[in-house]
Amino acid sequence: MSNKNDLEAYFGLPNDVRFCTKCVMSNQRPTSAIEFKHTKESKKTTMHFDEDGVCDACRTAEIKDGIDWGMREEELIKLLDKHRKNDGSYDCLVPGSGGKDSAYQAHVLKYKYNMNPLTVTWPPILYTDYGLQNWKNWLDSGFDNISFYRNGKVMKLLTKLSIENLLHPFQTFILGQKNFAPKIAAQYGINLIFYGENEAEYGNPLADNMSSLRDKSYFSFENLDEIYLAGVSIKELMENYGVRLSDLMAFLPTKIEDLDKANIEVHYLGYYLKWTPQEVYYYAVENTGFKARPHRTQGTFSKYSGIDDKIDDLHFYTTYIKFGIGRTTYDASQEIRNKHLTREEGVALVKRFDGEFPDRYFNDVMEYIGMEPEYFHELCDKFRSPHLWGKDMFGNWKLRHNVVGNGLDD
Amino acid sequence: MNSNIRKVSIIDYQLGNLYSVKQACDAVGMNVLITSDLDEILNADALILPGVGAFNEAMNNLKKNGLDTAIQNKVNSGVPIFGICLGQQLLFTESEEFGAGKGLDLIPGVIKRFPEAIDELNIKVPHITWNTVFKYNQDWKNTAFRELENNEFMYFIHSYYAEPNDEACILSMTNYSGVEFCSSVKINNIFATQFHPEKSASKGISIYKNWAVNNNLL
Repeated sequence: MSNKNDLEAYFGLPNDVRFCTKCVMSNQRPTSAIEFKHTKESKKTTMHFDEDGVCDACRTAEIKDGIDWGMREEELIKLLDKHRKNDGSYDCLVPGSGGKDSAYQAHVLKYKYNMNPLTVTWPPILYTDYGLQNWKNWLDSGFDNISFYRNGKVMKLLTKLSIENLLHPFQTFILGQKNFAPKIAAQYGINLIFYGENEAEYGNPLADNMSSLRDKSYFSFENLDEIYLAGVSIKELMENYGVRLSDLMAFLPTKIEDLDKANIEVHYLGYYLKWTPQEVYYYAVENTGFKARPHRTQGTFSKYSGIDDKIDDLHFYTTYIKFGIGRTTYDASQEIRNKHLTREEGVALVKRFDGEFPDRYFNDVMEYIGMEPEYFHELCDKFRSPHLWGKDMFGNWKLRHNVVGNGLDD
Repeated sequence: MNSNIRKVSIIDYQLGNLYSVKQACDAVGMNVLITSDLDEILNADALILPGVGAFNEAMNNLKKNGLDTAIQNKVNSGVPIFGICLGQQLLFTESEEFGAGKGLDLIPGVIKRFPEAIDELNIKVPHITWNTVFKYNQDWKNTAFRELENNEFMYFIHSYYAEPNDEACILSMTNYSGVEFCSSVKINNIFATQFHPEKSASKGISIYKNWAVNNNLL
């Protein structure tokens, strides 16, 4: 057995691996970062655990139990009344791909609170058939929508580079998800944007969850030199990869001065309305024609979340490689916090499904970005932090520590 | 308030799957309150004893608040009780679980752990799965199981199971990797399941409904 303090920890992760005593999350979970500042050298900040060994996400869930949701709804109605328009123009904007969350957001805003939302879609990198159908069903349940299809060649290049440089296949989607909506809002003169849950629900510092506003630093910039896409500077992308600035504009955030001029507020609806993923799913099924995927999502046990992008499964496989946290760990922790699973069940699910290789769509993704599957696996091995991974006596990679307690060094 | 409304206490001793149990009770229209308040429990028309976790910790928590004698007195006076999972196990005399001791002793019998292996066949513990329950010693017709087929699937998560001294109280048995164990009991006003009916889809919810109907709780 090796002394764990001798083993290098990549990405600024904590050397000592610990698991929350209430859910199954580990202390290696990075908090939200600004996607367009992400480089190879970036150091992660990770989720805080308190002296009782409980993670911030569980503490947030406890706080949620004590919130007076009636008061919050009154706050919401006040906010909506301030922005409400009766001249037929859009008064708020809901970004979404047609998954359960955006479907719920748009539907309650329009049909419960009588707003007039414009929905906007930065489509998944590779829509699944189920995801595309859910998107159509969503709009058919009564919404206007603007979808943006970005330059496919640049999209492929950036997605490939983000895997090579950061082992982060989902980055191009996240960039659009955060940056696209404020631009459209500015063009249409809409001052109010709604996202769903605050990332703090899943482990940003607790204070982040005390406000309904999303921090502007996530979707605005002051200087082009500070921006990196796929870990590469804009200058380098233009000089070394022959990409024009005009082809990159769709991926970039809004300039801070444009944003301030447009006077846009970005709010989390999850601050105002109690957000339980399973309840949101049932709402979307009943109201927007949402359908779960008939098969279990690889790497986890669920069928209803993150099912519209073929690359999503691979994304969670890479979090398993980089942080030792696979999709089951994320999903089970959420379900435990919402009291739909016990920790014992969560541990059993992690043991059974976490880190399962997502081969259902893997070849489609590799073909799309033009990468050899073997090369992807070689890249993975480069991103395995020594403090998390070791090889067993048969030469197979194994986590040194897991929540089951049967890791290589447990 | 209509004083005829029958009150059911879901006993909260800080170890339990209270949320899903309450959801199930609400779904069938029972008037339930999650509580650890002694007066509330003493005034209840029926008790539900849920539970997840360790036997000894559960008993200690019950004793701390004097809930153990309250439950015993209520049940001995004929008030219906529904135990679930660990809540079933607590109704028995004692447990073999490490560090555990006496239970509520409302049903004579012991709590045992699944063996690690039988005939060199490894048994995965805990037993977490949907598994079938089959009839044993009692007809289900007039019980909370009346809407269940023989060999109905129910959801289990546990490492220990009950072994009653008198098999007559066994309402169903279940087979896990060759171990046949008692998966539910019914004796007079006591009814309990090792599995989680509240996590066993519509057939599971029917158990809550029919228990409530049988005991006039709706």
